[in-house]
Amino acid sequence: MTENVLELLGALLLLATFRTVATRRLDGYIEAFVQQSVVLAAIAAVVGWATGTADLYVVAALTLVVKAGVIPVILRRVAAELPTERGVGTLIGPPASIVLSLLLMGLAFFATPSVAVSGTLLNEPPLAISVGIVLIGLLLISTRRHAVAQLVGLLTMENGLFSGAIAIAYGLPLIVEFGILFDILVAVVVVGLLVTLIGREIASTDTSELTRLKG
Amino acid sequence: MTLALAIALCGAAVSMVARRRLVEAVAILVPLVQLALMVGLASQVLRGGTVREVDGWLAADSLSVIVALLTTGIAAAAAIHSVGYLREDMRGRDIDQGPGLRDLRRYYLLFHLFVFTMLVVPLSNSLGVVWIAIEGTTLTSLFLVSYYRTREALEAAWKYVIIGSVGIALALFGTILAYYAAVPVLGLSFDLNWSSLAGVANRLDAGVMRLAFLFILVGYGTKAGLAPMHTWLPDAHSEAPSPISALLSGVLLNAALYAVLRFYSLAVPSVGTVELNGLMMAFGLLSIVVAALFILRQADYKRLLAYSSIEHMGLVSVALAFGGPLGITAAMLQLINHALAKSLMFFSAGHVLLRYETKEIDQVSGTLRALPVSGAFLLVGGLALAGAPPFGLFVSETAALAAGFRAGWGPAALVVLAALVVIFIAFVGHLSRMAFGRPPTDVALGEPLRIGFAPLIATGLGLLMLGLVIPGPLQQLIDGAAKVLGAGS
Repeated sequence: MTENVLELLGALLLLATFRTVATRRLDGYIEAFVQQSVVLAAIAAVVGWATGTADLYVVAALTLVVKAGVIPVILRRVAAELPTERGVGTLIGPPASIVLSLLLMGLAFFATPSVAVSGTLLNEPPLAISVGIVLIGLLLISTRRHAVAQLVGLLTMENGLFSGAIAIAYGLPLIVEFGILFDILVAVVVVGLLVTLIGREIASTDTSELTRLKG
Repeated sequence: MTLALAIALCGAAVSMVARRRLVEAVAILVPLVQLALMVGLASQVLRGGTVREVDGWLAADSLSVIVALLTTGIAAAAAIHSVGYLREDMRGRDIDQGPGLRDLRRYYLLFHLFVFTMLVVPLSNSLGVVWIAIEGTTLTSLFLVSYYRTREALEAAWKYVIIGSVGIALALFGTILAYYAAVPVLGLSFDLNWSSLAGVANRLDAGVMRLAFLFILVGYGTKAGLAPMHTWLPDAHSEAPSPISALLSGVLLNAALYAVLRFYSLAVPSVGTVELNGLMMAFGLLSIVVAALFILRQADYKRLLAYSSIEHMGLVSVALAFGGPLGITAAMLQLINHALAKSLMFFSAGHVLLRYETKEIDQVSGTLRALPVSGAFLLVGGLALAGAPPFGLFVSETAALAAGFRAGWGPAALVVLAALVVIFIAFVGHLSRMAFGRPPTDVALGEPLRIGFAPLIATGLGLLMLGLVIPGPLQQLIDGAAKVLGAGS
């Protein structure tokens, strides 16, 4: 039963991740990220319930508050302050991105070593899904030009890692998880500030214009 | 340890509200007190082994103490340099009130926080906290890198935060894997402390630890400036104000490398040295070669120093990979010497930049005449950095090469030797062009910053001393660190 629920949630997590590469609108990135975080919180709660780890409930609640609550608000504010002409520039379009993401996902399933240890919930821990999400996050960072989209890529990577932590080790010690979430929050605030500064300085947050430093 | 971390935060609080003179005084005082505390900690470690505080959240052994001493020492020198540098840099602006004072306070606030996060790295016991602190170093130094708010500085800061965060994310994965490897041994609820992991390191699953170390090496290696993840480094180091460049090169890279070394020490008992050293060797050699190529055709002297940092981080990795007591000792010495030499270079290069107002090597000439003291330090420091005797780097580099040949890494050692020769020639060429000749007519003569002599002399003397003799206590600390890193096992 739990196994089926977790598999379903894993699929939903993947779906939300694919939404980030499929979208053209800035809002789309943020919505997809919220979706991803909500699913992640659900996974934490279910694993916590199945294994009787109370810590994971706290992790789930924190994830909801920070990643589905505070961070999207900040991202929207940053996005609103920045001039965006006609959607979000991409080096490769959504269709090609989806194909690439599928390939990355295949690579993840193929390359992730089976590190299953007896006593885990699923015989084959969904580590490959986490690795795949991390790779898709990297893809976003390297192919999207808008700073907010790159930021969502970074957060996607982090979500992938979080899901991995929950999948293989039922999460890290609570204080560490707490610190990491706090850190991510601060990171988003700080990077948001920097993005705004850049926006004011060059009146465009297209990072492909940041190419003066070479050699 | 607790006190040293606490006063950094107090210093940060004071810098937000105090008058200018008090802000400057606190900026210098705090790292000096921290340095004194770390010397005390070092003697404690030498007497009784690993020291723990605050319920085991903080812990220090020989390896941590070496890094912590360097952190606070270089921070103290950089603070003194900052006071002079900023006064000169902001001449013509009112720095006692209004926006000038606000900029100054912001600088010192971030300075304290930056040093705080870098000091947490070696002193923290929990590997999770180490991760948080290293991410913290990116966030606190980000606005120091973009301090000048020029287009180039903002570009450097953006690159720094994005590449750094990707690296950090990979390191988080490595940390999670290490936790996962330990769960079967220590149970689900242990707190990820290296001091508890070290005791059971030989019982961890080798496959998982190998994967964990690979992610850690690539992740923290990004922050440590190892090629090919080094691309943020030359930009950030050259665009930041010079005292911050010194901190980035002399302290931040060490902090990141410390995290790699800590995981190395935890992975060696299960995975064995052969594979781990192979990885360190690959990244180290690539860094040295890439750095050598860029140093050869560099036109900007701050970027020149930045690439030299990549080279030296590579050298530390390679020396460690050569292995054996000699190799590991050479690696630790190299770490210390590089921190001293590089901060010395960025301090004197900062004086040159203030006077000449250009970073182009071609447009700087006659620094010996225009700036008799800083110019001389720039030239001599450059020779030391390139590995000339009688300075510390000559000793550590020859030791590393000897370790390499002895351990049967002949071809690799030859590559390193060739790169060192190339870098030496390029460095002497670049620096003599800057030092000799006539200064341009529009450049004023004479030293503007007497207060900035102190850090130059301090780091210079340290470098000279380490070239002639290694003091007993330091030798003991290095031996201790070598034991932590698996020498003799």
